[in-house]
Amino acid sequence: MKFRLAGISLDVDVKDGHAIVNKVRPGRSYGHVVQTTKYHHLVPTNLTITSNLNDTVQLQFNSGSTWIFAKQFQPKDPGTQKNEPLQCITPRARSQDQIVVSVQDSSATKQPNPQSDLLTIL
Amino acid sequence: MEEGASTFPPYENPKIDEIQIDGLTVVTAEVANIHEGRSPRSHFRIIGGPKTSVAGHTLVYSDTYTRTPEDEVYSYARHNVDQRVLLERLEGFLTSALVTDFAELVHRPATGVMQTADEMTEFEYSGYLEAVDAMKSAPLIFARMNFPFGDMTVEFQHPADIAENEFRCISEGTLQRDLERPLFAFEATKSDVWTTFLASIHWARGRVQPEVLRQVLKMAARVPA
Repeated sequence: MKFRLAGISLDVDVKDGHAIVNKVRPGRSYGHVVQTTKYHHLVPTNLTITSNLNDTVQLQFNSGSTWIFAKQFQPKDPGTQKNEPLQCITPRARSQDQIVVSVQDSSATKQPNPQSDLLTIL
Repeated sequence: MEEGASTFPPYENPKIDEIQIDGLTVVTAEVANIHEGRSPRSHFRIIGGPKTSVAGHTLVYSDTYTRTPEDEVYSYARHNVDQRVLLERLEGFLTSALVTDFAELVHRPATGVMQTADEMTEFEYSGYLEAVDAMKSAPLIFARMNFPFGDMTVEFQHPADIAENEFRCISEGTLQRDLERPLFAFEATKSDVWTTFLASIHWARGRVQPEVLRQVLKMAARVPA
């Protein structure tokens, strides 16, 4: 999932090591990773990234069904990466599961549209 | 608020003053020592005073970051011109500046960033006017150009974001987070030279006398002595 705001791009993906995946296997742990470019703007931006699962039957963050990451980006900030463990729980309970991610900029009236990743459960 | 916190509430307990700048009543609001990101920051804004043609709306914002080896100052305000007009005015401003005050820039490569809705590209062109020319070729949402006297950034969006009247939050002892957009921003640590250009694209340029507007913008830039 790619989010583009003025002066910064964010990628939010499920990763197995460094590889982006859209298929996950019960009993394994993955990373739910937020990665940003360098911050090019000269205006500080407070971003709150919220990742939501429908439930914790098949997939689960360490924090449960919701993971929230908030950060202020200031001029000259380098790119940043944040990783939240994502467990695919045994047994296989469904064939697909979804993560919905929204990004909120506290200084903006309009917000980017939420995006979702559909993961196949192997 | 440190990294990881879930929300960013309005600034609390801003220091408020009402002053006159060349006959224009303005309200200044300042929040000091904000610990939210990599460096502590003080935030300052100048708001059109009560009963003026710009009442309750921010004329200019600035942030001062405590950094080593020196504090860094950034100033920004909403503009109300489209990409074509802004780049034409930037071309005119730079042409004049290159001839008069900044001749050393003529043979200097121009670096920066162009961002469309789909991609962000870091660039280097042989000159500043070549860079501006390249910016005309695609609909941008954001651009940055780096200059020795202070980098600049600009956002492009339509329609504009007009924040709520600032006086409502101030009456409650807070300062809202919402910024009026699209913004033109510049680094004012070394120079306030961009205030002249900003005054030519500023949303209030038809409502406030040009020289008064420039004074307001220079006051917010607060270039360290």
